[in-house]
Amino acid sequence: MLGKSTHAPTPTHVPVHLIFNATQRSCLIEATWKSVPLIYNSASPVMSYWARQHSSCKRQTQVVPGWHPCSICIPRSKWVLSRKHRADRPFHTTAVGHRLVSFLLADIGEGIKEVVIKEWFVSEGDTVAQFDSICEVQSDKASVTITSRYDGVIRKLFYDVDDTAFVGKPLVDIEVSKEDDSVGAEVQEGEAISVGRPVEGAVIEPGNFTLPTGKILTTPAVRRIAMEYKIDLYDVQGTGKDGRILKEDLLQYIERKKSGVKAPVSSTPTSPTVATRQTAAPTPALQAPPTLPPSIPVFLGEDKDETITGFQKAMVRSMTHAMKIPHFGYCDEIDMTILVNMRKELKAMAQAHGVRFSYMPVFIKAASIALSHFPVLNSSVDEKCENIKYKASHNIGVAMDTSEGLIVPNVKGVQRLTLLEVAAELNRLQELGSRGALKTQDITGGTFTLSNIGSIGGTYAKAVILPPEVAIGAIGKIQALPRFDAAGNVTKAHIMQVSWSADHRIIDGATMARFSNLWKSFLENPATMIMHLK
Amino acid sequence: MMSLRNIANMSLNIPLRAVVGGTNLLGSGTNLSNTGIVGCATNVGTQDSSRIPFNRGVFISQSTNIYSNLAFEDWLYKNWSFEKRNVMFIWQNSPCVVIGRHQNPYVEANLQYLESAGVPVVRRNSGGGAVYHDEGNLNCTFFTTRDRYNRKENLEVICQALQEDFGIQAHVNHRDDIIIGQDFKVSGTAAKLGRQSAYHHCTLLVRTNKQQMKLALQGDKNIQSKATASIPALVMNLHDANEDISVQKLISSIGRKYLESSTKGIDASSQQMYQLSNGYTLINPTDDWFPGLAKVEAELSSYSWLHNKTPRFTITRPVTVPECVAHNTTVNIAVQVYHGKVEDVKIASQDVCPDVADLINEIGGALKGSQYTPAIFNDLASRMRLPQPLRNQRSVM
Repeated sequence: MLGKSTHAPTPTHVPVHLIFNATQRSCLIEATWKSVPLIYNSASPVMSYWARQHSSCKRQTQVVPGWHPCSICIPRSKWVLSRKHRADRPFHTTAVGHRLVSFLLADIGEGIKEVVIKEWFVSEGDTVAQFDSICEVQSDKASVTITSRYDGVIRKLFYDVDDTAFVGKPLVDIEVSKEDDSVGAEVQEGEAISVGRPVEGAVIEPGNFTLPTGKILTTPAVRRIAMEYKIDLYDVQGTGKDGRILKEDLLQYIERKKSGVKAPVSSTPTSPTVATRQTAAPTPALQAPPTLPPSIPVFLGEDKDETITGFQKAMVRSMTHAMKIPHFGYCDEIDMTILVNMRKELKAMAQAHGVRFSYMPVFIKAASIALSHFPVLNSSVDEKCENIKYKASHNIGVAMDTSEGLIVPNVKGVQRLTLLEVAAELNRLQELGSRGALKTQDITGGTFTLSNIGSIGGTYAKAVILPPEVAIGAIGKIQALPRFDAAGNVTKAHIMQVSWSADHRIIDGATMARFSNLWKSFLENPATMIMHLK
Repeated sequence: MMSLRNIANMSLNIPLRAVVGGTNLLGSGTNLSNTGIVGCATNVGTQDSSRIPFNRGVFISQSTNIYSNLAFEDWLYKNWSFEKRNVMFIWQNSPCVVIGRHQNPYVEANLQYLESAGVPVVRRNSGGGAVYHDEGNLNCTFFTTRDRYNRKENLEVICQALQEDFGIQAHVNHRDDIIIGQDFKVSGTAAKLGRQSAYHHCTLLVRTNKQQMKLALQGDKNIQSKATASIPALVMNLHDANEDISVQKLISSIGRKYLESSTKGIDASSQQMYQLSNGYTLINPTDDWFPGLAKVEAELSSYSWLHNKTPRFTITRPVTVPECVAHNTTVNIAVQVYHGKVEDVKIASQDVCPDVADLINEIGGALKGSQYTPAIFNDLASRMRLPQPLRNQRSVM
């Protein structure tokens, strides 16, 4: 992929060169998709042929049994490599091959030393992927499913059904591709059953032919970028899992290169997994403080799949249910000039009582007064819409946007509360809501809802009724707009829009309109509310 | 009905107080309402999630169908992640016998009696022994992630609940049974562990019909096999220890204890934990609410799951040779069965006349590979009467 296969071998380039050779020689490579991009080399028609051949194959291809590149020089039975040996041995042209790994029975827990094999899910010669079920064992009362740690082909089963298997002893032999970096992963689930001894902190030295496996873990997207920028991936320090090179690593490298800081030589030597685990933590070589990269090419984002769960899922259900109600909308605009002018005084008065003032309590109280004239709006219908229950108490819900999402607590019995009391209650609910500490009774039992979406923005909205209610109002923002006054002159007026939605099965447009007019009149001329004070 | 209020419930993790306190919990027990999940079931990263490691929820099944309940248990195990929450699933069944995953139904249960009584025999997914369920028996399944799997901890919750609410002194023995007194067993345990999730379930004898249990669990003793054997034990009902106890009360007691207990040890003063955990959810295990459930249910109730998962066993029975073949001869025949299919038919007695032996071997050879049923011995005997081509036919009657 780096187009440098004709250079004199340097540590960073030899692997490609040799893989090239190996590819020419081998008839079949067990190529996982990870290794395929490495042999992309447009200079070599042979290589690109193989690349094309294998790029469409799935994760594993079946190795032709018997034909094993390494069996030429070393009999397969001796080919269980340990890291130590690999570090000492010079790199080998037939090194692309397979390793036989003994998959040991992991510790089940509870101090259990032996289990009984109850069922095999694989047989010799089967191809398994990581996390496929291999067998089921039983220890006393626990039935445990053992899953594979590696991708590969099962070569030997050590036990039969009903045999007693021992923890820590080999369970199956799996033949894995040598390219597979997850082989030899020493630590799994908290216990250290290792395949071979890792080489402690081996560092690559230039001129030393002990080389990495030739395998860099990255995504195709990253490789593409590296190709565009003509970057040698070996130079880039991977900070992802198993030493993966992430997009960010590449970007940092690019930017560091631009700013002239020498990038650290990737110290991923022959023992890739262990050493990269050790160096996976950010190395001290990343000293340059991250500056804003001047121009980064725009990458195509990847689609992200997420299942809808929990809160969102409940929302899906509830909204679907709500949309079974035939809604109709009625909108109007309200001249809030007088109220806006009164604001300062009202605020001062409220503060005197230790209450934070906003328009919302006024809206709520006005709505309650209007509801007493139109009780059908404060009612509830059953599922089949056969019975209406006219609710006595005006429990007016206020939609709140919290970090959790939409929550609608309600103020109970607004008809018997003063404006100040409504404001105090609203404050309490808002404070609880922001902390996520609302109680069940705060949230249930609502009969009517107001949604002040205008506090965030917007004018007209189409709100969705919350069953089992029958009406909802969405209040827009207050804007200063020019309007004609009674004398016909243009004045500045504070205008607010309101959008009502109601259940058309029991509420008709006229009722809604009259209710809205009444509510509007209270707000446009607050003095009329005095007439209805209780 | 799901309203935004219920959604809000979910996000705020308020337990449904109305549900707690037991007697109206399951109603008649066979109340299969149309609402699948009443109340909140899920935990979505609460604002306090950084403080509390994870939450707990209690699911209570509204069905008493053993297949639905087992299927739901399996469904939950395979389809849910228990990273953020531990779940306890409480269920009851109408009378049935449940055997462990690797057990032999012939050994464990009196299949003829149960068939005539209309009591189903079901194989579950976890290991362990055979149990008899009826309405006086309570099952609890504790779901956790693989690394949080801890049987003792779960059983401690139950013991504490029994102690605090009913004054029953129970302790857990080395086999993870709950014992009262010296050696009366009231609960048995089994578990299943997978790569990411694990569950541990146990029974609780509250007021079971011991007579029925004894009759149901009398298996065939003439079978040798390496299948998991059930260990018989003296049992008693919790009701015998405390007259006040009932299944409903026990459900609410254990549920509350479970929700209260934190991960490290159990301290009684965990009101906050109780407040913040997810509370109770009633589950109606149907396919509408849990897609894929019907498939699991079908598999569990299939003949092959019950019979063809049986480990290798050999059953030996005396067969009377028909008079037309030999006089006064009874031969012990050993039939070896693997995964429900006859593998081998051998003669188990000595001194059998060679003609009879040949006949038996011939018929035995013909029977190899057929599905095993207990009637095979009669079949063998009747085949001995038949002439040559007929007796070796695949299926005669």
